[in-house]
Amino acid sequence: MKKLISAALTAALLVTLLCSCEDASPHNTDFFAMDTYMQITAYGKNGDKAANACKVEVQRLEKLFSVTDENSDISKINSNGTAAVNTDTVDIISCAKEMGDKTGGALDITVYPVLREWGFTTGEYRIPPQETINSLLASVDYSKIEIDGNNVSVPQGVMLDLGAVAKGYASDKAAEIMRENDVTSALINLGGNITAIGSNPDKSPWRIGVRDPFSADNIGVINVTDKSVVTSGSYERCFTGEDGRTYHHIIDPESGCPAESGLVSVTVVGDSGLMCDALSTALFVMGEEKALEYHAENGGFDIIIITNDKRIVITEGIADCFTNLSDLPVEVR
Amino acid sequence: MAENKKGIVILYVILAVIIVLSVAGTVHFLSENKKNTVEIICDGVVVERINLPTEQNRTIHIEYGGSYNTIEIKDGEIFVSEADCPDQICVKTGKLKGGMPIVCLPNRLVIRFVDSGEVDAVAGQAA
Repeated sequence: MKKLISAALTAALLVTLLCSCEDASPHNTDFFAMDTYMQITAYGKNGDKAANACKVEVQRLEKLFSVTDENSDISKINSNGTAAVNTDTVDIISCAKEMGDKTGGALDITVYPVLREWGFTTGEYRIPPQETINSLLASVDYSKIEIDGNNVSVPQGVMLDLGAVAKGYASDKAAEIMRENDVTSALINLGGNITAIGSNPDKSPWRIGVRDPFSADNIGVINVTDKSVVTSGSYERCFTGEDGRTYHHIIDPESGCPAESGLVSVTVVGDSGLMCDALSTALFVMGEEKALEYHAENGGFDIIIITNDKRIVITEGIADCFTNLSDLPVEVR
Repeated sequence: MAENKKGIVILYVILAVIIVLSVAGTVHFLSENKKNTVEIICDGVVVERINLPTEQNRTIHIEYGGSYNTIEIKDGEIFVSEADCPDQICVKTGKLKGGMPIVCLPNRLVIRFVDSGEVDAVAGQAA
């Protein structure tokens, strides 16, 4: 009888052990912020705490960076021309200015007045007359932003919009929180702006789909560990004008019109979410050859380019991590 | 005495087999089910949980702050057929697939698979 009891106890212990051997269940938090839908998933014992801390941090940054919230740092700069702002706001603006310099102005965080005229900020799309675009372009120049300590100033008419970098910056901050909490497996998805922390709980790499701009499927899958993956695509926010043509939201700061660079999407894979975010926009504006030149000169990241004429161009560093699910040809550069 | 021992050993073996099978079965059952489970979330609240392949064709009408989305379940697929949001991104997204949720930002609506399937996430979403 004693043995029977001990057997039953052993069995009970086994079941308990099996069920609790590892905290493999994901801790999810999802919310709307920065004009997009965000999902944060973290594994492990600190997962829940870390995921929630990330949400709080992203929401804090949104309050600073929002162009529509009139109490944000950015709104204060835009309406007063100058403002004393939070350190994070100074950081992100100086990083964006630096990326503007590096990309020869292909990234310009002062393109906002033009973007607004096209209706991309409100959803009330329209094709502005060329004269309007020309007059607005006069105030598009990121190099006119002045930073002095915590004070940021812009000349009259110049307006900031961190849309091309805010999610990237926020994902870097979220990644920091994950690491501070010793989370070794997490996925930060800020509206398709992905940062992978470590690998999947089963130690396999994270599988990130790259959207097929020509259909609703994935064009391919990229396997990553500890990387950010950010895509800019002309299919993301676009409208059909009265002239029957399609206009997308990635404005070329030079022309003031949607960039016509021969590309439909650029995906950047790298260590910094901010850099990936900024570059995905800038390289889209540059087009295939200039983007590849920029990559060759600067390095430190990889790209997947999808062209209008239906080719996939991928840089060597991630060629082995990419699985092509489409019938488009892949060129490794 | 020896027979008694033998009996205990057999008991152990049977117990072990039962435990392993039931744990494996539960894990299998849960993971199988999750892959097909779709959540419709409005303003952070799960309003419907659907096992897509077995769900009857039907229309779900969801209102939020005076606006609406009409969701269609048809032959094991789900999509937003109509909405009064200005950008219509939810409608343009089409049928729900793998790692990319259907999102309507203005109406705070999300339709997603509980388990994203083939990929863990999709870069470059529509919204």
